[in-house]
Amino acid sequence: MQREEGSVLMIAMLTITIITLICATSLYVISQDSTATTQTTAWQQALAGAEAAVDHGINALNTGVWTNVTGNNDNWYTVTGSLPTSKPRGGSTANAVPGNDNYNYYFPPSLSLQGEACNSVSMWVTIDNANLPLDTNGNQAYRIRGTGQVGAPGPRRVSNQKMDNDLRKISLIYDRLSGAAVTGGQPMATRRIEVVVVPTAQSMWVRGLLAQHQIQMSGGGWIDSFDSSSGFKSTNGLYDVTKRQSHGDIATNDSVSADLKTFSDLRNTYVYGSIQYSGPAIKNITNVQGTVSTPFATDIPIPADPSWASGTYTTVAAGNPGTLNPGTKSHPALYKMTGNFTVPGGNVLNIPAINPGTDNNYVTLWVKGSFTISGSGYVNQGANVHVTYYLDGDVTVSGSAFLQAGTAYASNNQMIAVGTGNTTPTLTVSGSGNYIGTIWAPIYGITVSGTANLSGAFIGNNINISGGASVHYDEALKNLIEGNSTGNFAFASWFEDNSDPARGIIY
Amino acid sequence: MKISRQRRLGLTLAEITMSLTCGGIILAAVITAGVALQRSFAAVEGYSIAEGDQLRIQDYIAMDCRRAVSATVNSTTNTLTLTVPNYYDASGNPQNPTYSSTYGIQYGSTGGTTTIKYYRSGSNFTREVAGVAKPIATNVSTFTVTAQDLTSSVTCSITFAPRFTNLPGPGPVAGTTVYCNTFLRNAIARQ
Repeated sequence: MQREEGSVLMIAMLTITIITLICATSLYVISQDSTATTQTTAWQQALAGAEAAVDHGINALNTGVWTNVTGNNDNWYTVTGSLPTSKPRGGSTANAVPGNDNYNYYFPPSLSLQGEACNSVSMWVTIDNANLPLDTNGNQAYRIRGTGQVGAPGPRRVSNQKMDNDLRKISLIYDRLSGAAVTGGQPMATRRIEVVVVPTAQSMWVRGLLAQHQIQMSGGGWIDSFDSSSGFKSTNGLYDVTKRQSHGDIATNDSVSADLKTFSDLRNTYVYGSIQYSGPAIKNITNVQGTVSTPFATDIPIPADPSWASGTYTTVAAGNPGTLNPGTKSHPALYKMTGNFTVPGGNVLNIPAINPGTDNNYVTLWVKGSFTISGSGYVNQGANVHVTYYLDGDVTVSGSAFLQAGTAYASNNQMIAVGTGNTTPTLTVSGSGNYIGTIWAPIYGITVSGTANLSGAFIGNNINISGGASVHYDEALKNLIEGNSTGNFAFASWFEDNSDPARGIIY
Repeated sequence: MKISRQRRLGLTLAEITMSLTCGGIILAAVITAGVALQRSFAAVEGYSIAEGDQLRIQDYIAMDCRRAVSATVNSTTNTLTLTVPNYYDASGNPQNPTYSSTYGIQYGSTGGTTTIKYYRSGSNFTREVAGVAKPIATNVSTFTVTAQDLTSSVTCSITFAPRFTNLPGPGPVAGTTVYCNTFLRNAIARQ
C-alpha cells in the first residue's frame, strides 16, 4: 500500500510540474507577444510625434512666431553651436530664424493617445540653416529635425519578433541616438525625421501657357515640361525630350476670342499636362494627357512701364545699341530707348558679363517703340546675365534671336510686353531655333510660327502656335520670385534617420 | 463468528466501474482540453507571428519609400528598387545637407545614393541594402509590386502562407494578403 500511495504522489507531482511548465511557457510566449505588440505600436506612434514636430518647425518659419507659440508661454530657444544628438538644452529665447552658427529648438506640447503602448508622445524640433547657400533670389533654406519619442511599456528586453529589432531599434537601456541611458529606465521608441525646406513664391509662372482669351495649336508640335534646376528632368539645364515631365499645363480665362468669333482649338496637339478653361469647350483635346477642368478664372497681372527717376537710367538711340553693359544685382543697369529697337540680319547686340560673381550681371532695357530682331540678327547674352525687356510696341523676333552663353535659363531672359499706347499689340516669334525665356504679354496677341522650340512660360491675350512649334514649360520658373518676396516654405528633401550607431546599423 | 475485515475493505464491482468511468471521463476531458488549448495556443502564436511579419514588411517598405528619391519596379522578378540619398558618411554619421544644381538637396559634399531592394527569395522576404541581403519576414508566398505612378506612390501586395494549417474542413485559407500604398515623400519634394 505504501508504494502505491507514493507512486500516486509522484505522478501527481510530475503532472503538476508538466502543467506548470506548459503554463509558464505559454505565459512567457504571450508576454513576449505582448512586448512585441507594445514595441511595434510605440514605434509607429513615435512617427506621429516626429512629423508633428516638423510641422511646428515649418509653422515657425512661415509665421515668424518664436515666442508664446501656443499661448502657454512656450518659446523657441536659440543655442550657439551644432545640432545636438540628444534633447536640446539651455540657450536664450529665440526671436528670429537661426544664423550660421546657431540653431533654434522647441518642445511642442505632447500628444495624448489612447490604446496600446504609451498614452503620450513627446517631441522636440530643431531648426538650423546647415550652412546651405542662398538660392538665386537670396533666400535661405533651412534644415528641420523633428524627433518623436514614445515610451514602450514592458520589460527592458527584446521581443520574440527577432527581426523587429533591426527595424524598430527600441532604446531598452541606452538611447540609440545619443548613447545616454534612457530616462527613468523606461524603454523608448524614438524616430527622427530630417527635412530641408526652401522658400517658395506665389509665382504666376506655374504653367506653360496662360491666355486671357483663345489658344490655338496646330502643326504637330507638343506641350510638355522640364525642370532646368534638376539633372533628372533636364540635361545641363536644357530641355531633353527623354526627360520629359507632364506639367505642361495650359489655361485660359475665356476660351473664345475677344470678338467672339474664334474658339480655342488644340487640333489634337499632344499636351503633357492639364487644361483649365472658362467659356466654350476647347476643341480637339483628344491628346491631352492630363485633366481638363472648367471653370477657370485668375487675375492675370497687367505689367506697367517702369517709373525710373531722372538720372537713374541711360538713354540709348533707336536702332541697335551694339553693346549694353550690365549693372550688378543690387543696381541693375537701366537703359531706355524712345524709338524703335532693331537688330537686322548680320548684326549683334552684345550684353556681356562684366561684373564678378556668378549672379551679378543685370540689365533692364525699356523700348518705347517696336522691337524687331530679324534675319540672322541676335542678342548675344553673357553667361548668367539677366536681361529684362519692357516693351511698348509690336514685337517681332525669331526663335534663335537670343543667344545665352553657358547654360541658357528662361529666368535670365524676361520679356515684359506692356503695350502702352498700343491698342492691339502683337508679338511674333518665327523661324527655327530655341527661344528660352518668359513672355509676359497679357494684352498682346502672341503668334508663334515656324519650328521654334519655346522653353519657359508664356502669358498672352490670344496665343496662336502653328508650324510645328513646341512649348516646354520650365518648372523651375515656379520659384521665380517677383519682388524678391518670400512665400511659404516647402519640402525640398525628406529623410528618416533610422540608424543605430552603437550596433553599426545605418539604413 | 468472525467477520472478514478484508472483504469489508474491498470495493464492489459497481464501485470500481463507477470510479473507472469517472476517472476516464475526467482524464478524457483533461486530455481534450489540453489538446484544444495547445491547438489554440499554436493558432494564436501563428497569428501573432504572421501579424508581426506583416507589420514589419509594411513598416520597412513605407519607411524606405518615404525617404527614397526614386523608385523602380522590375515586373519580371517582382523586385522593388528604391534609391535613397547617402545620408550617412563612411563612419555611419549623419552628414550635412548640401545643394547641387544638378541633384538639388544632397547629403555630404559628394552626394550619392544607396540602393535598397525588396524581393521574395524562396519563402523569405528579403531586404537588400547596398548588395547585402537580409530576410525580414518568413512564410511569404507571393510579392507583387504595382508599377503605377512611380513618381508619387508605390503600391505593393504581399501574400503570406498560413502558419496554422491543422484545421477541420474546409481547411485554412489559401493565404493572407496585405497591401501597402506609400507616398514617395522625398521624391515628391524634389519634383
